[in-house]
Amino acid sequence: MSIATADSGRNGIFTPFNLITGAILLGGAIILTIRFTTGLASTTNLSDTNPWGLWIGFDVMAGVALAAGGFVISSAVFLFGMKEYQPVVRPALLTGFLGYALVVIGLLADLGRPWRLPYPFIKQAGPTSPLFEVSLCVALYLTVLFIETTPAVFEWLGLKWWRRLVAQLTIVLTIFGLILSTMHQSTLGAMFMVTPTKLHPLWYSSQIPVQFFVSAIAAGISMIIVEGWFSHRAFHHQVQISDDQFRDINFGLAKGGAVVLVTYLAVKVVALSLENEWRLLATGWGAWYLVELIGFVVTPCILFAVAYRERKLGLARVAAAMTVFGVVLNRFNVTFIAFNWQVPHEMRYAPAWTEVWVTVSLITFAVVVFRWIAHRMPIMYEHPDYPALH
Amino acid sequence: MSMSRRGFVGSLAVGAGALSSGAADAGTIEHFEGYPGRYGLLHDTTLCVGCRSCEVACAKVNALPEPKQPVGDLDVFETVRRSTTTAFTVVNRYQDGDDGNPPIYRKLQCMHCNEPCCAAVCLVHAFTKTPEGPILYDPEVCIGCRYCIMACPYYALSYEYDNPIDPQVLRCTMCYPRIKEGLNPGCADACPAGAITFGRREDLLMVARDRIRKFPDRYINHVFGEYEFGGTSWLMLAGIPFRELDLNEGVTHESLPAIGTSYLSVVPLIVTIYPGLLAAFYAFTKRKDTLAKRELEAALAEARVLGEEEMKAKLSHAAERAKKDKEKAVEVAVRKALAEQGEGGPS
Amino acid sequence: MMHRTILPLLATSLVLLGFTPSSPAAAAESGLRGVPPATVVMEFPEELGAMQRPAVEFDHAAHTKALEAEGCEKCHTVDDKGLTPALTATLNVDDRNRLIDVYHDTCMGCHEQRAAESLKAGPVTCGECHQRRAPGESERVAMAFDYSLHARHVRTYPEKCDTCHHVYDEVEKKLRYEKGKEEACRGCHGAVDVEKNLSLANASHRQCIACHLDRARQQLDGGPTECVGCHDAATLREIKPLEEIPRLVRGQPDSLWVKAPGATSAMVAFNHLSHEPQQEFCTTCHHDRLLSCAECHGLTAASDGGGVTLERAHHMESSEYSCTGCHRRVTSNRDCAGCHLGTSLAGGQGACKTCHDGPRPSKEDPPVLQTGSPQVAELAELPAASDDFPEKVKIDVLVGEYEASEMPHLKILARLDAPIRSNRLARHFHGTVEAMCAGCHHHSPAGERPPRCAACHGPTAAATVDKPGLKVAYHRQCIGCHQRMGIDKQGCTDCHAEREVAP
Repeated sequence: MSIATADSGRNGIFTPFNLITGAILLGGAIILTIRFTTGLASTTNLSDTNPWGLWIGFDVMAGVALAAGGFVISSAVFLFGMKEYQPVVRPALLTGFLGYALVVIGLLADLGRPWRLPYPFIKQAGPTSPLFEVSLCVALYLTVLFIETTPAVFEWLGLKWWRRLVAQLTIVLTIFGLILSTMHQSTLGAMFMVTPTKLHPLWYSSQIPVQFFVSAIAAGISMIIVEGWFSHRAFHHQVQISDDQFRDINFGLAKGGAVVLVTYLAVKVVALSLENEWRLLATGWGAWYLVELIGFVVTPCILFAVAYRERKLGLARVAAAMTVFGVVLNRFNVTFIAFNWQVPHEMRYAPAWTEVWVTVSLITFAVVVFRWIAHRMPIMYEHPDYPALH
Repeated sequence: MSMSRRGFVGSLAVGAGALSSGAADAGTIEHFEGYPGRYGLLHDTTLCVGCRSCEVACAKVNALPEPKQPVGDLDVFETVRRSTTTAFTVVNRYQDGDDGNPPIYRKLQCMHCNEPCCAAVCLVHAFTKTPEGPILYDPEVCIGCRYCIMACPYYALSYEYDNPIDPQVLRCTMCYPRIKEGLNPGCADACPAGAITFGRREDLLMVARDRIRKFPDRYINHVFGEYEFGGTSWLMLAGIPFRELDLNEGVTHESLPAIGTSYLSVVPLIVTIYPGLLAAFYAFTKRKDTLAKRELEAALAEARVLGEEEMKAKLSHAAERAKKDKEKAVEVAVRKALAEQGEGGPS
Repeated sequence: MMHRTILPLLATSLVLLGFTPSSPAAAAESGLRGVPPATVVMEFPEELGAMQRPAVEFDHAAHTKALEAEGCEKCHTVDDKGLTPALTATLNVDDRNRLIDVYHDTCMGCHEQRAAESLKAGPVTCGECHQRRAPGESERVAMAFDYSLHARHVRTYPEKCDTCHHVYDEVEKKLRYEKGKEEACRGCHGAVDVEKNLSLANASHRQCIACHLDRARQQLDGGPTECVGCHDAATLREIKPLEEIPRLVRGQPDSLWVKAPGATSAMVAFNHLSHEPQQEFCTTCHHDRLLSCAECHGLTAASDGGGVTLERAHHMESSEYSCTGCHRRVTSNRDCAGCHLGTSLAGGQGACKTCHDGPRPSKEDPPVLQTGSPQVAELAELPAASDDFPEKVKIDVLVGEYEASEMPHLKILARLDAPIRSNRLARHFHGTVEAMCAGCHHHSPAGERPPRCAACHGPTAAATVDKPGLKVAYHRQCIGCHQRMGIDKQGCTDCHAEREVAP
């Protein structure tokens, strides 16, 4: 298999892509160095009143939701037998794995004492904490995702016996992954149930865990479409499925996206009814809530449905991008926008440019690694020497 | 399904537990009142004159720097302050006293809740509710995730963001070492107006009620902290509604851990039900695949058999026809030969 | 029919009472437009339904002035019963629409007539009377007929109480006079007309103004005949009270025993004479009728006494009429508040005996009380400075951030002593020096050499009994008293200098 590497061409390693990503990563590394040598105050706008900001809001909250494609698609293919999506399983799992790795790296940047990350498991556990459950599930799920991406690695390295071994684990790992994902996706939302006075009542609900879980599925499906958008073009030479097959997969995902978003809308409406908060919709915060709900849940839902019916791939991609943005917006709202909503204006939080740069460089890092792996390993195609996994 | 207080406190005291919520008495109908004889403080805001002696004493007792704004400086009340890593307690002015009524102040600090949400949400169990009342923090296990600061409804916790080596979560400690020695917290000793009284919480509740009974025009008939979010060790009396003192008036009596962590009781359900359920789905899918494959093979076999018989029938039919044709052709030739013979005769 | 007179009377009385009498100050405070006292707001009471146009603000004073020559009879009926406040034209009118027509005919008719005679006349168009205005508040003040005014009337009609006072004979269904049973008008006349019993306003206007008009006509000195004369705050202030108000004599005793049938506790000797000048009206204490309390308030709660027992009638601290209530209000004066409004005074059984020091009720008659009983002794002179009675006290037990405090003990005593000396009530209840000491040296036996504060107040608070620690006790006692008495020594260095803490 001859694989075109990123190093080919006149410029050697100084391709435009490499230059830009390199600059971003370098900046991120510098900022993180400052952060680890002088403390969080120098590189963030975090404060006593706002202990969680962009790094938790995006890297952890949104990152986990956007990496949900892995469990969604692997369950669909391996447990529910939707074989037509087999071609996107590996890209989705790789996205998932890199997404969760990004979560852990982002967490290491944000924790006050990141070297103590394993403490809940090795030193002292606080099992009453939702965060304990999240960290345990994320640690285990990261392992599961890691193992689920190793088949491609073993194929690349030609380690047949290892490859066979992990292939046999697929079903067990998929089940375990779905269990872990259900738990930690919803518990990330449940973490905010302890703050009824600090999170705006439109976002605070006893249904928050369900809302986070369902929106994560929508985000995962959308990320597969978005990731496929770029990968299909970048790795077109590797792709073995026909254009029609690729389009069919995307439309199937669009249909799924529409159904999940309608379910999400229903859960949101139920939450409003349970707490009888309709009059809050007439306030300023209500308008912002409706922007999130109508603009980035209802609209992409309709666009997904239309795209499926009219077979318009561009529309499906737009809908997917809007869904991703909507889920990120929702996580931001819950973490620092609608959180502390009653705090006086001068004490509210806005991210510092250093926080934004670090987040962007983490995303860049994930993209670069994805690209490196996809160029070399059988992610976008099936290795002819090995049978398809189940 | 929520945990009982004893179960919750018991699991805190025990420490490491199973992955499940660790509530030994989850679902019990008993009511845990809290550790009997635990201490508390009564803050009577109608007596507070805003002298800030408590801030000075707290700084001294905890070896913190003196308050930046000196005690006589009244400008400090122009803004509403909160506690910080170097000031565990502050006094704010909530009413100016312009209208002839005296100005109204309140001291704020960690409330040392009966069922602290900071302790419930800490994933390394760094907080402990002691039987004496104060909540203690263990910097030896803290990883700096700051979930406790997110959770606290009183904004009582602060973090050392400028410390890269050993940042801690800092807040009022209710002078636990002094209490253990039989002394009073520094602020209680310092207050010259008697706005802070230290004692057993159950005694202070009776004192508070007694003051309300004796001076009904002076106090709002409510002791804040008796039940709010499960109750706090700091109890407040006021002459104006508590919401005007920036306190959560009218909140539920259910504790925040019960509200916020009761969700975890669903975890064992997922862990026990999902495997069987998903394995069943997989089995259904597999069975569907197997059945589909079998049907295909059966259809193919049948098609093959049918095809062979049809072929045989066609061949025999064609052979028949060919035979018939041949016989007919022979017949025609014989008749023709006979006819020729009849016409010409032997010549 | 009754309702022919009642309806217009009802309408008028409710019109007059359309606004709750207030004051210019109150109106200004509430931000509402002030309506002058002489303005009568004409609007229908609820029973007649809502008006289609805004209420008419009728300037009665202007009309009185304009119709001076013709007098009140122009609009009102003045007869031997007095002046009927309702317009003559509206008497016997019971239909709403008819009433409207009557008002329009009367008012507009007169205005048109005067206009025709080229006299100054009022409006004839709808909108000029029924003007749309911002919400207003009446500046009318209630008339206060105090002892001074009553004395002036008595001076004019000495021994002729029947001029104004009457009782209603239920049997003969008419008014008559009964000597010794003169009551305040308020005792029978309430806020609204009840059948033939006129409201206080209507009754006063009918009786008082008629008499004043009569005297005015006879060129005699008399009371006001216009609204502002009785209901304008500024005008009322100009009425100078008599320098020496003679006692209102109605056969009341000088001193009497307070007792009730069936009561068993020691009787109270009550000096009625000395209490009379303390108030402006008899009705301040005799809030319903001029009777003794026991006439309505029994030993058990009954409807007569409004459910208030005799004990509560005398002792309820929150009451305006009870003995204890009035005495308690006196203690909120600046001179008294230092001790009395502090939290440190104990009650105790001793206080009861101050009043209940008479004999127990028995079958025999109680001894006769002389005028001036019970006697209240003069205060003895304050002792001179001595070890038992120090001039200054040095408080040095808590020296820390501040130096010791030098308390001017005798100066404080002199300041407290002066108002007590001159106040009979104070002398009666605590006419000894020991009693005054107990104001600060509380919860301990009164007398010389009281226990030191530190004897009971430990270094820290005793939470269970809500007893403050020594530092708080000093601050709360001293500063609290200064606050209540309006003394300006309330800062830290006003009592103790800052101490340079030695390194």
